[in-house]
Amino acid sequence: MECKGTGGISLAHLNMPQIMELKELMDDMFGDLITTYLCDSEEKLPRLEAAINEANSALCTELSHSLKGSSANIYAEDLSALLKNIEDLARADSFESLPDGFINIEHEFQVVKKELLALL
Amino acid sequence: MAIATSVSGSELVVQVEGRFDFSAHQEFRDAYEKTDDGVKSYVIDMSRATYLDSSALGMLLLLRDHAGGDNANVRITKCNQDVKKILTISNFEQLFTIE
Amino acid sequence: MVDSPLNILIADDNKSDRLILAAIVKKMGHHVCFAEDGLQAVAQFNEQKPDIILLDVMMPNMNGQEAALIIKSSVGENMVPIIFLTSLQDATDLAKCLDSGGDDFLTKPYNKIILQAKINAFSRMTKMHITLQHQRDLISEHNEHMVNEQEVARAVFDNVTHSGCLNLPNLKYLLSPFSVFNGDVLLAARKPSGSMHILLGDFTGHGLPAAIGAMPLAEIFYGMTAKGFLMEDILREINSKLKNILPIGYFCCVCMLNLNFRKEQIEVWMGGLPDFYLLRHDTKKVDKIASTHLPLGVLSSQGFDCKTQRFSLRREDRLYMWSDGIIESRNDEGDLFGEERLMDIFNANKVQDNLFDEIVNRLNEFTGESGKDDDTTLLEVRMVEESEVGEVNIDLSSGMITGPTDWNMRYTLRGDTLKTFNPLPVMLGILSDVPALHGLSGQLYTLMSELFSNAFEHGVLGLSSELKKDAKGFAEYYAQREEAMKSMGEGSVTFEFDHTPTSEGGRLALMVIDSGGGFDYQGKQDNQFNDQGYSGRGIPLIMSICDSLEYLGNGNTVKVTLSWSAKGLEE
Repeated sequence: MECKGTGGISLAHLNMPQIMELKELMDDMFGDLITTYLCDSEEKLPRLEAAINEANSALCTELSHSLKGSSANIYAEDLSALLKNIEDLARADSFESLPDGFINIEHEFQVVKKELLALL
Repeated sequence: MAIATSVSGSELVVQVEGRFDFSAHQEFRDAYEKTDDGVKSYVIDMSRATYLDSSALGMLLLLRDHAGGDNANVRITKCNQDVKKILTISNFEQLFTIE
Repeated sequence: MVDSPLNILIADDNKSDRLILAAIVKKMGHHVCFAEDGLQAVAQFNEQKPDIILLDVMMPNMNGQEAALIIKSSVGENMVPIIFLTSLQDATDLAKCLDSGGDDFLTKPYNKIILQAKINAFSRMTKMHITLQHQRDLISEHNEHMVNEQEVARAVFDNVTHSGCLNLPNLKYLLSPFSVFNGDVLLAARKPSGSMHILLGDFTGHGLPAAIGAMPLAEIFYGMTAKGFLMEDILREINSKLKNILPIGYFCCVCMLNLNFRKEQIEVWMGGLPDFYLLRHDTKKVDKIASTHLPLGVLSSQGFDCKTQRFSLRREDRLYMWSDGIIESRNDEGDLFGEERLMDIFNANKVQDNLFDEIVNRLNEFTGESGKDDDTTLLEVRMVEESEVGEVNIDLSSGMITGPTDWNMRYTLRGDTLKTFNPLPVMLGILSDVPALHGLSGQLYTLMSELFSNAFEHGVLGLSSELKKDAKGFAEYYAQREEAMKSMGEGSVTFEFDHTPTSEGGRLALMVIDSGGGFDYQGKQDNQFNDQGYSGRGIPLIMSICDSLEYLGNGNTVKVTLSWSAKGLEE
């Protein structure tokens, strides 16, 4: 299986070889990392949804940027790409298609969560 | 500042180019110390030297000492006006053959 | 895993990102500390003094770029590398990170190998930076230390080399060293006879190595001048000293003068210095006097030539002497000041009193901002009446008022010794043990010198004093003197000193006996020793010093007496 760059279209929800490497690096901290990521994301996602509905451009940019970064770091490449899309739109203050985009993110996050938990 | 040497027979010719001052110290010394075999007389060719200072005079004295002191055979040739003048002020014609 | 663990600050608002970074850094063996926003990052920087900072760009409260600016402005000259953490892709944004003081960036997702390589690279740079700082501080500390030492040594040096009489009104000078120490020396001292010795020297190079030779030179100059030695003797001594102590290739270009106020004459020895100028007061004509010898310290004693040149110097005539630093001064364009510019100043001069300042000003204008690259020294000597420079100041040792008062000494010089040796310093040294006579050493020197040359030249060599009536005669006289010296065989001059105590102090009688045929002094007695009768014998001068003078025998013996009073000393 080939490695895929961030932002590219990916077939997998998680880049498996990369995350296995990360697991090896983190060793017994891997569980903590996954839990931290999931908690952090589950706290931020509802706030992101609210910010989209309020069309709060600054908050929306900040949250999507943060989530994009942390998702990239655990190699959730599709999720990170979706969040980048949100970030770009929020930065450009174009909120028309954002609510639809968020539904995709919710869905993708649940898939990633399931796959991550399976690794523990 | 550049030093070039050539040997013809038992004569070593050292050509000095540019400003002859302290920066030439090591190179000038090497010029006569490293080509020593069978050299009996020395020629310092000043045709391309533009200027010399008191440390250059010192270097000439060192060469003279190396070449045998009072019995040394050292000729200083083709000096320009400035170079000639400095040698004359110091009365170096009493120690060297200046041509 | 690493020789010396670093302290690394991780500033990222995302906890999971911090965990990953911490895992990578710890795996390398370094210590970590954390910050969750820009404000915390600045606070942690101040508290933890990290060696490297990993700084997220977008953070709440204060973003990474602001934090970087604050941190970088407070590190001073220390090196604290900042690596920006970013998922920014835009080149302009990345460049902005570096502009705000970042040293590098790392993009998400974090790559372990790349981050570790960057940390290693910055660790090397930091170490090198610290080493350089340390070495720089060490160098600057050493330099400071050295300059301090030089300043102290300089004070000693100045005491030795500047103990003379450069402050007399007939001298103006400029000494402008290139570094703390001056490779140029300028010395002036009065002789017991009232004349003045002046020496301008330029050692090879500059700074300490050049200055160090000036110490023995000055010692010999001052010591021998005070004892009444002739210029030739002093030069010979200095040359032999320098030849012994200086490495080959190092020497001292010198111009030495004997300025005789009474005879209005200078005696010059010059080796290796540029021409000096003699400016005539009345005609404003400039004569150039050229170097005729090799510098001091080049030839061995056997080869050394101390022949001097003599020139008459009338009152208010001036001499200008300089080291080559003057003529070879350069302006911003690299042109030499040169002799032509110097000559122009002389030609343009209206008031001779201003000439010295005109030269100095012109030189300063010329060199301007370009600074100098050699020691520069300039001296003006003006011929004046002796009274203008004052009496020769000789220290009277307090307490010992009378010293040895009852003694007799006979000193005879014969043959070649008579031709070549100057006995005056030795004799003056013995006379100077009598403090009262020490105070008169100037006059005694003159007295003995006149009597000695009469005895030697008129007595032993048989030269006629009649010749010395005019300048032409003088030349002839000296020519004859040379000849007579060559053909002279046996001959002698004897000095007999007899010192006796008196109720007031003491009395010195001096007899000078020569081996010559004498002369008819009887006929001259009536003339009261006026100058016409005894031309060139310096009799009026002798009479002005002594209480009595009489010729004895066939005229080959002269006796003078001189009394002194202890009372006069106490005043």
